[in-house]
Formats: sequence, C-alpha cells, structure tokens
Amino acid sequence: MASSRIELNPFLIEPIVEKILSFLPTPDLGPTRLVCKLWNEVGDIIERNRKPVTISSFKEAQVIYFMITKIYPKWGICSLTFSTFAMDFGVVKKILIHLKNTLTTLRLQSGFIEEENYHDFMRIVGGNLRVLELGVMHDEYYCHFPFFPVQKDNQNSPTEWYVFPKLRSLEYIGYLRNQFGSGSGGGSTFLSDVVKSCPHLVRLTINGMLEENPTKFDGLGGLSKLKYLHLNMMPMDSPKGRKDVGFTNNRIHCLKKLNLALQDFRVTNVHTNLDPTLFRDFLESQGETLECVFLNQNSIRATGQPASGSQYCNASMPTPFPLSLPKLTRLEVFKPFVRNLQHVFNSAPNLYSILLQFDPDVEWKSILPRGPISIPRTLNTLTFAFVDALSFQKMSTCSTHLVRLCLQNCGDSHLPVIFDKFPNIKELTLMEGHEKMTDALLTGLDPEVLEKFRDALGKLGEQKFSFSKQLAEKIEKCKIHPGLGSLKKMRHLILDFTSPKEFIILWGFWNLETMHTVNINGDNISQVLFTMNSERYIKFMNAGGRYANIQMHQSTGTFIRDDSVIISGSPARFFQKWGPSLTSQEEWKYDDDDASDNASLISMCFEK
Amino acid sequence: MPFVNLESSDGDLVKVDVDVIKCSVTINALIEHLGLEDDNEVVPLQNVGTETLHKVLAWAKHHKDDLPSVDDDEDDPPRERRTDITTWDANFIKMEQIQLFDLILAANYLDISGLLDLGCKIVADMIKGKTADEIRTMFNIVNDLTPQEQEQIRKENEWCEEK
Repeated sequence: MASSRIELNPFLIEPIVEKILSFLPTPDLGPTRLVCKLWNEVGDIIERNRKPVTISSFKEAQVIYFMITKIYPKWGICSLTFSTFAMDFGVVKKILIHLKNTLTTLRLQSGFIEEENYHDFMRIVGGNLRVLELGVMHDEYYCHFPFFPVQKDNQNSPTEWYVFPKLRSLEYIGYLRNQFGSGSGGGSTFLSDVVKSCPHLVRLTINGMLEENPTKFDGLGGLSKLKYLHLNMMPMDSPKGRKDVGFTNNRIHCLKKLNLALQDFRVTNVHTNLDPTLFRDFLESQGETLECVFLNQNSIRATGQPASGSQYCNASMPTPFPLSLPKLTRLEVFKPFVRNLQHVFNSAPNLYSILLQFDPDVEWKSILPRGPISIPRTLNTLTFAFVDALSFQKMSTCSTHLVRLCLQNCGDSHLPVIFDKFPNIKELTLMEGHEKMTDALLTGLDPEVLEKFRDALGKLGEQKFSFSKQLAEKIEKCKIHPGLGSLKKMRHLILDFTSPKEFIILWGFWNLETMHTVNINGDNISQVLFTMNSERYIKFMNAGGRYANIQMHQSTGTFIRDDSVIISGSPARFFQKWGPSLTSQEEWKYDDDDASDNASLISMCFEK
Repeated sequence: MPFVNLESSDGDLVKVDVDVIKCSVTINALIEHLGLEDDNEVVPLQNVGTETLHKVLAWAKHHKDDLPSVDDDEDDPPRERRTDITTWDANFIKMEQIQLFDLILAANYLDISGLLDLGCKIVADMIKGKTADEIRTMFNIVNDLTPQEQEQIRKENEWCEEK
C-alpha cells in the first residue's frame, strides 16, 4: 500500500499510553512499568495519583505538603484521609488548596477542628469532591457542630448554604451530643440540611438519624438520584437520652418526602414501635427499583465464635413481610423480622440470594409452613445458620437451582443432605458449628480407613509417595457414603473451622476436575499445605497465624493478612504432581525407590 | 447542511457532513481556522489512511447525537476509569490488531475523545495479565530501561503487592 503517512507507534505516544494505563486496575499496572521508560514514567504518575494518602499528624501534613509542592509537582492526590485532626490549619489549608482540582475523596475521621475552618475547607475542595466521610469532629471546647449546611462564604449569611456540585457518596454521624456544649443534640446534623447541600447523592450512609418534622423537607427537591441508602440506628437498649435510637415512623415520614427510587436499602435496628404497614408501604413504594434489602437488628455478625444467647435480639420486631418486591434479588434478614419464611419468599419472586441471620434458639418448625415450602426458582444462593437437620431437609427442595450454599454453625449432620440434594453446587462454604465437622463425613471414607491413613501420613511426614490408578480405585471403594467428591460441579470450597486435617479433606474430592479454589481458614494449617506452594499450579495466597514467617516462593505466593490458605487448581492436578499422574492410562512410575515404598504404605491403608 | 472534504494519507477524498465530524476537535479547529465556506475545500489528514478514515466516520456517524461527555454525571467516584462498553461499540471495535492500532492513532490525531477511550479500553483489556515481555512484543516496543532501573521498579512493585 502506497502510504505517505509516517509510521508511528501509538504505544510510544504519551497521551495514548496515559489513557490506556488509566483504564488498568492498579494490580495490572505493575508489569506495565517494566515495558520501557515512557511506560514507567506514565505508570508511576498514575499509580501515585491513585494511591490514597492518610495524614495522621501535623508532621505528616508538613511532609505531604513539601512533597506535593517541591518533589512531585505532578502528584495529584485524589483520596485523602485525615485520621486524627489536630494540626496547624494553615498547612492543611495549603494542602487542600494545592489539591483542590484532583481531590475527589476526603475523609475526616476524628479530631479537633473549628467550625469556621471546617466550612472553609469544604468550600475549598467541595467543588470537585465525589466522596466525603465525616467522623467525630469537635472544636477545642469539645463541642460538636452540624456538618451541614456549610456556609456559602465567610460573610455569615445564614440564609445561603454551600451546595456540593459533584458529591455522590456521603457518610456521616448524624447524632453527636455535646459534652459541655449547649443542649443535647446541639452538634447534630439533620437530613434536611444534607438534602439541601448535597442534591446529587447516589450513596448515603447515616449513622444515627435524628427525628425531624417532615415538613422541613417540603420544597427541597429530595434526593432523586440516590440509589444506596444505609441507615444505622442505635439499638433499643442504648443509654437514655439518645435521639437516634431505632428506625421509627418519623424517619419513614421524612424519607417519603425525598422522591426516592432506591436500589439498595439497608437499615439496622428497627424500633419496636414502628408501624409495620408504614414500613411495608415504604418498601413497596421503592418496588420499581429496589434490588437489595438488608434488615439488621443489633448488628450481630456471625464471627465464627460460638454465639452466646445475649448477642441476639430475641424481641419480636415489626415485620414488613409479606409484601411485594418484584425487582428484589438480594435479601439479608435477621430473625426478628421473620415469622413465616414462606411470606418472605413470596415477597420476592425473583430473589436470587438470601441470607437468613438466625440465632441458635430459633424454632424452625414455627417459621416453616406445615406443607412443603415453595422457594423462588430464581434462587441460587442460600446462606443460613443454626438450622436443624429436619428443617434443612425441607429447605433442600430448592436444591436443584442452587449454586452457592453457605452454612454457618450447622454441624456435619447436614453434609449427607448437601451431597444428596444439592447436585449443582458450585460454591460451598462451611463455617464452624457447635458440632465439629469430621473428616469421615467430609470425605465419605470409612473412619477406620481414615485413621490408618492419618497414621501413615504422620509416618511419612514431608516425603513423597507415588499415586497410582489402582490406589485411586481403592480409595473409591473405601467410600461408605457420598463425600465432597460427589458434588461434581464444585468450583470453590471454603472451609472455616479448625478440627479436620485439611490434607485428608483433599482426598475427599481428589477427582474433582472442576475445582478452582479451596480456601481453608483457621490455625490448623499443616506444613503439607505450605510445601505445596512450590508447585506451579497451586496458588498459595496466604499464610497467617503460626506460619507467618514461612518464606513464600516469589512467583507463586503472596501474603495477605488473614488466616487462610487458598489453593487454586483442582486437587486432581495437585495429586498428579505431588503424588503422580491420575489421568494417564499407564501407571505412574517413580524413579525413586522410596516413593514406591511410601506408596505401598499408603496403599495398605485402603485395603479392606 | 455544510460538508467538508477530507483527504486521507492515501490521497482519497471523502466528503463528510460537518455535523458528523464535529466530534473531532482537530477538524473543528481546522474548519474554524480555515473558514471553510466552499464545499470544495479539502482538509488533508497526513496521519489517517483511507480504511481507518472510513472506520472513524462510521463511529462518528453512530455517535453523532451523543451528548457531550459529562464527566460530572458519573455515578461512582472514579478511582479507576469506568470500562463499560456499549454493544454497538463492542461490535464496531472487533477488528484486526493493526487496524485497531491505526484507529487509536487516528483518534488521537483527530482528537476524538470518545473513540480514543474506546480503543484504549480494548488495549487495556489486552494488557491485563500480561508480562512486560509480552506487552513489548505485542506493541513492538523496545526496552530502553537499564537493568538498574528495572531492579528499582521491581522493588517498588513488590512493595505494592505486600499491601
């Protein structure tokens, strides 16, 4: 082709490279830095700009100011957090002025600030801000002040307030009682003032919402762009005098004035006096858009610890069920709102995920219908805790569509039901129960055989042994009931309990080619798993607890900070490598005599 | 409706509705600068081949009525740029790599931000999960980093991964 144009490589033109790299997630930026000088320079700036910065002391503020003005003039910090605010406001102001065009996220977590300075800072950076989080701030007399409205200028004109033009996400503490200041609730922020100041919010989290006369919202225009509304109220047993206890009728009357079309609504701690009809009508008014609802009470998250009764809210709460939410796909609900599980399922015919946060004392019989339970056909994810075996059997009618199942505190008597009734499970999470999970039930192997196997493994320690097709067949024959291996579609297995020996569990599903990740939590992680990381196909994500000092292999291992081991790749492939080939027709031959001796030791365990 | 004649680097003339090509900042500026009243006026584009020019025009025609991109109305605060692509764009951008690279070059030269975004998103997707070596081969880039510089970058990267 006769072309007169100059051959140019687009990937050496700075604006193009900058644009390409800006579309990459941060972890993918790493390798691009090694491409060439230009890519390194561009990537460096992008990475630096993305990195959130936290300032926790006056000294750090000074350092940051020096760096952004003198050393890295191109460093446009976009996310800045002040973790404790007790510093020279002159420097802070200079930083904010310097960053006003790039700063999109600002978090003021706690500390001292004069109301006047706060207003000043908001006016400086407010024009570009997308995300704002406000914690417990007070002035030097320990007085809190309302975060909104922010005065438009310092000329004390209370009728004009500053409007944040781009603010999309806001989180703040609504109720702050002044310790020495005037009256109670003097420092509190009212929702009506937030509506005035931040009309374009998409996401709003209020920790402690105050009572207000709903007429204060008249003529304000509401929050029609709001999609996510999370309201965290104080629990009912809070100290007297607090004004943010429980989600009440008044709160709903206020919300009704906001022209809401929510996608995601989460509320913590409903007031016992809440009118259930009002609650239901409010939720149904959002029915056109509402996709996700969380109803929490007393914020008790299962932490894997055995629960003591007092953690749970046993009071009966005003329940919005049954209602009609055709768009709802995701529901999390605590026990106090569930009187009849069938009503809950009927409320959301298109539900795909439900989490039932129940306590140990729930009488499942009383909330399940007498006859068979009908569950939306769309449901594919089910998470629940403390279910008795009989009720679980009943719930298992939804099994055929279910791909994700998470059981907490249920013990292993449910395992046979899972193996039998949930053939399509792709992701299974089992968390610690009162009863311990046993290797025998997880693997389906004869307990006596397992005992022998455990002993043999103990003798072998870290030594290898060869794995043959015949051995595989022997293992199959030792299964006395279905084990994890019978879930033929399983991709992710998450085991979060301490008792079983994870290596033995691996034998329970060694033939599952579909398996993608195995995540085992707890401190009972054996050395065996740690030696596996040298195998290329097993990605070793983490070492917590007592093995934290083990050196990870550079190319395969990364540390993350919790106690879990994640193995990627099917166990079948693991055994191919660690013990040898399963899939090849010929029996695998070890050159190593020891390995075949070891193999016979292992093989003997599976002799009947 | 006013028209403008664009001349590709291959010497071909293409007559285009000014309204269609208004997305190009470069051509807009040229038209204003040259004051193109006459329909026979020709704008030479040394950096854009005929085939690429037709692609650009197809894209521009489809997006002619798009509102000017309002960064302000993005819902989520951008830590990383948003990467969703419409179905039409996804089909449009299905082409040989060499054509894609020419298109990006043209979008950059003509200063059409929407098209440049689209092309760069596709390239960014191609980069994901690749090593530096693979990227250099794919884009024909020569490594001009010294071993010391590479070592330095590796060290910095390690530090990031630990986080």
